[in-house]
Amino acid sequence: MDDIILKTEDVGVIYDGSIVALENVSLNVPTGKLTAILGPSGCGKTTLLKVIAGLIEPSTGTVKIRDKEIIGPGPDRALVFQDFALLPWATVLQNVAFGLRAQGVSKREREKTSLNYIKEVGLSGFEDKYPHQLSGGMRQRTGLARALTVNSDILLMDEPFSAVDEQMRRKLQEDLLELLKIENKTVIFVTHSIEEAVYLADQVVILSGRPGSIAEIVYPEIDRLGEIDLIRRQPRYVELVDEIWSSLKSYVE
Amino acid sequence: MSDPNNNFQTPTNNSVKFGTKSNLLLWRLLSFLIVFLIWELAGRADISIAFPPFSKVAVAFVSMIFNGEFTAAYADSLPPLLIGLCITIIGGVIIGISIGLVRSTEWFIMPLLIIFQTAPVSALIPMLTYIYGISDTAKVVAIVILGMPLVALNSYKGIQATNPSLLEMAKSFRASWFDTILFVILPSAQKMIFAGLRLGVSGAFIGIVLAELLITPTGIGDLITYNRFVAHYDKMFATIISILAVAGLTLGGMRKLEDLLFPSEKNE
Repeated sequence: MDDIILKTEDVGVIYDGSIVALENVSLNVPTGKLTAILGPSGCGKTTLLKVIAGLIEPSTGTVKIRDKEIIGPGPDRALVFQDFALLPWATVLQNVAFGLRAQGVSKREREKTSLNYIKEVGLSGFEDKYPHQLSGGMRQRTGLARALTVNSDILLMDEPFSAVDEQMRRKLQEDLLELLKIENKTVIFVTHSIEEAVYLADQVVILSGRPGSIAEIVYPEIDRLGEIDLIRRQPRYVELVDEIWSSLKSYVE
Repeated sequence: MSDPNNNFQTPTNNSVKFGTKSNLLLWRLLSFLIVFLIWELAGRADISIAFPPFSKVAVAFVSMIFNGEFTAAYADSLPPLLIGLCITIIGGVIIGISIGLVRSTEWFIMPLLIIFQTAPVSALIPMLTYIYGISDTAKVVAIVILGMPLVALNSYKGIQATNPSLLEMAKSFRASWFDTILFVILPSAQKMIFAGLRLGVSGAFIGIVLAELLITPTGIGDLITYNRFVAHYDKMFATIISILAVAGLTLGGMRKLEDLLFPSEKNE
């Protein structure tokens, strides 16, 4: 069994005293693996991710990182946003450096680190561009670089590729896998796409409809060591997509 | 990751659609010319002696510049206007930002601001005479009453309109309260704050003219009233045009200042 870096224990979230968004979510996230949280819209996927990020306080239960309960956001987690959450008045470089600036890192230091990650996500030459001058894919690369600069062990991604077109999504997925071969990160990834979950994740957590609770956990065990282009052709991939769809179908109205 | 060069979108230049910059100036001048032409024709139609043609007003305007009438009037009006503007701008922005940031202040300041914004404030101005007498203080108060609510309300709305996703982002990266205000909230509110400042400055000009018409017969307001009494309608209109010009130039200058201070301002 792998090392467990993050654990949720009986996490529940109740909004406005009566709306139950999440119920009894107990989940183990293994170190260095990619965990996908998959479910129909409105099932509380993003809520669960925000609880893990420390942005929403759970009504019941706890989130533990290395057996220590979390209180709010921490240096061990960095978030990538669905809508990119880039400052429109700041350049790519300034946006990427935001996390380090918030930590009080000196300008020279944070620019050096940021330039490094800008290069790593493939945005060299665009350091001085503003978000409105970038395509959707490039904006999300900026968001990803910002999350990488703070060097957290856990990367939290909230439907990061849902706002870009299909071709770009595939490219970003492939690039993410390539990047994770270099960066040793634990990734928790929210998605509504079965294909994306199976393609990327080592562990797929399927949430049932409202209130969200864990319906099933699937381990794709897909060979990602070889050519990543071939992943989608593996019989195991096709089988799993079908299997998860038949399991999810009952929760979709 | 691979080279994303092929996704790069060249920013489009909006002004291209409407013509070049010098063209724009030409159109603006043309709009003035048309108004002046219609005015000239209407003035010559002899509708009323209180409505002189534009050419007469223009002559009066130039003569008033050189005979010192404008200088004397503006020397009276400008000091209270400047003091009032400073209080309006600084006070308005501070009040607006504080009620935007601190919920508890919202409860007791907002109702006052909304009353001042919606009430016919000019009706209150004669009352100022009772309180402050015929003085510059009365003028300053009139300016602040008319201008400050606009500045404060816009600053407040600008702060409130900060994208919640950006606030969440700042929180997730554990930015301090101070950093969040400085790097997220204020830049995001900047456009609204400046829009409020322009509204506030217009309000301040209305305030000074109203105060000088209704309370203290001095300065530029007096120049209007006096010329009306003695039936120098060309001079009366020339004075009104001078106020429009000063107000217009001030507002234009503020736009330039905003572009100068925030050249990188780019919104999606």
